[in-house]
Amino acid sequence: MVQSLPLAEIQAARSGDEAAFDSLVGPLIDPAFKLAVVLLRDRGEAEDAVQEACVKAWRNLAQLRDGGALRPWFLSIVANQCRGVRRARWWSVVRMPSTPARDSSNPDVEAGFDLDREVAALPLTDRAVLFLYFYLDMPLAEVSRTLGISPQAAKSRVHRAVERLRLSMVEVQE
Amino acid sequence: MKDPTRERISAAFDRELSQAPVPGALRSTAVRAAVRAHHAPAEDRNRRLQAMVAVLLAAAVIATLLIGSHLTRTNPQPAGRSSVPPAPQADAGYVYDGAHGQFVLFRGNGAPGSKLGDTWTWDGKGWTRQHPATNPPARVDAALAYDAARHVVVMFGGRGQTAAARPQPVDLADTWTWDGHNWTRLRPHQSPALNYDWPAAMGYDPVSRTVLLYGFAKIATATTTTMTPQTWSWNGSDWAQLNPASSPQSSGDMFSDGTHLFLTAPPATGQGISTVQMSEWDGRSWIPVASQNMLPNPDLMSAAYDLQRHELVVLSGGDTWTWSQARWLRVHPDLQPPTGSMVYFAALHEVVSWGERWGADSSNAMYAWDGRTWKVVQPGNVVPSPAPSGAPISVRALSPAAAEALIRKTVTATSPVLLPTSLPPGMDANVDVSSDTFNVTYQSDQRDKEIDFGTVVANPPPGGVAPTDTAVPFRHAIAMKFRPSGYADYHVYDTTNPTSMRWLMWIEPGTTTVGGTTQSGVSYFLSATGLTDAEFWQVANSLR
Repeated sequence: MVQSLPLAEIQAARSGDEAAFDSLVGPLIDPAFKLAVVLLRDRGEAEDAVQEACVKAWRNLAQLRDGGALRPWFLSIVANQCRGVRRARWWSVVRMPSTPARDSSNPDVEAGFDLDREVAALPLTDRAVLFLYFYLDMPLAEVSRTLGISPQAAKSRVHRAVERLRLSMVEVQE
Repeated sequence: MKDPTRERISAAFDRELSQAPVPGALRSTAVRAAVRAHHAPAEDRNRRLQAMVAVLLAAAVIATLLIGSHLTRTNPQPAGRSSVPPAPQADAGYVYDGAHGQFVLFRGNGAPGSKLGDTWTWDGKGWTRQHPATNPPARVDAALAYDAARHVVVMFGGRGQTAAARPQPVDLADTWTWDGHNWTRLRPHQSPALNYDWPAAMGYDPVSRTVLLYGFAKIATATTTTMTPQTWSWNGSDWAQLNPASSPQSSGDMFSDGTHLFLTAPPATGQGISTVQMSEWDGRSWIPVASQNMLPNPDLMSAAYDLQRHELVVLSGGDTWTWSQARWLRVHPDLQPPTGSMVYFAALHEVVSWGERWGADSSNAMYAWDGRTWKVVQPGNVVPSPAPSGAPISVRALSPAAAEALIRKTVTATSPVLLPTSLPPGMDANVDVSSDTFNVTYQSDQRDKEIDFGTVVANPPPGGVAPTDTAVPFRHAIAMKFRPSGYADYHVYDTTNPTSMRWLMWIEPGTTTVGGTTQSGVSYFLSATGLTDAEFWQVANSLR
């Protein structure tokens, strides 16, 4: 769902009103940081990426126009920033997130543990699309705008990622 | 409809992200850095940004300290948001809406006999009176929780009133969701039938990714009425009753530490000491959590889990407590708010407390807990009304000597005024006193010992003397119902516990003058919790 933009706050933010800018992007910092962690697998780099994305978002406030949605606009900046960070890495070791030790004979818990490993091992493009679509509950149109791909491509990526996880297929809602 | 694929993938991300919590000051530092970068000359902007990143760790600490003033300063307010808070409300429903970063308040009682049913939100900077297209019926004691799996606020039940000319209370069993803009009534196949003589509690279980409701059904027979605990699960479309093998027997607060769901409630058996028991939901039952010490249980408390500092924060009895690493600790903040409506406000990374949860008189300010003390982040606008002439004076946190001085100075219409001259060390005192009566409560620093003493209780209490009471010779007591002269009535609540609550009541020879009428005898009542029998009698025998 595309919501109308708070034009007064955008205008105030452009003129340097920190509170107005905070009211625009502040509530998105949490999901932005989580997206950055999913894409970068590194907490410190994710923090830097979100901070840099905030700077870029402020500079590019003029891009926000009527009909545009704030969340995919900001998260797309975060995603692009993360791509830039990944390209700039001189090392290529993929760090796996540490998984907490569990002591359980419950098969459901064990199955969840396996799924954690599989989600962590997915290609970043697949992780991003799953995170946005399932975790943030984004409509496919917003997912596509965030990742800079077509809605059809986003839909295909969701299907492909779910297949890789060997989970039952879902009906992807437009 | 339940979507297991979505739930499993979201749960996997939940577990992964729990290893990388959002930095506390990220929002403030990132926003500030962005806006300040605009003012830097273009040619050295990049260099300044790099330097800014280098000092962000230090800035994060400073920003955490400054966030209170940042929030309370005057800024241009967007339309709809106001610095004027809603009027104080008792028994209001409240929750933190994680999808929108807002404290949501569904108000309960208005003027005596009225119920408001209006919705307010607080976004960290100001209040907004919401005007949703659909409003749930007004109610008090509704249970609210944020459903993190479905990104909506869920509200269930509460006590409303009938639409008759003379409205009667009615226990509601309706389910609503709040999406940040509007309320929607849902139509589940089955719903809990709870009684709100005891409030229900609701919370999100991150393991099952469902919302759990803990409340009480009132079951009446010809001879007895019992309140039976029930646990229900909400999956986004329907309620299902669960059958835990064990449950607390009183109502309490529900909270999550991000990985598990907990319930704070008094245990089934108190052993003569009123405490709060922490229970953890293991997916099948409420399991008592071992603790190194116990939290004294006043009648009214409020709690929220601080996900930033990994501790439970509790307001109760005019004190602030934390619970972490299985230990309760009474802390000593510079500013002590009332027992308010508490949530963890994720957008600020702080626990906040609004107003007074159980009363409607004192406050509608918003306070935030920074790990050491409370600070006002949104002032209230309540001006305390002057106490009527002759009303009791209430003073808290006095030394025993100051309490004695205040009582002896104020109580002029009752004689004799007795007070203990020997108390356990390190106690402070709360005093309620008027010209003819007084009550003083002495408490140890960690509240594990408490002594209540005063004239405000009628002797004997309604119901008379219990069979387990004993008559003990004491002072020159006047004869009272059930006891001859020279004797007081002594009661130990649980004889198996050496520090059980115990009390002593008697009528002291003397006079009390109320409204110009002089009565013979002064009814005294001494009770203690956490004291041994010997310690108790040392206090009793020191009365002068």
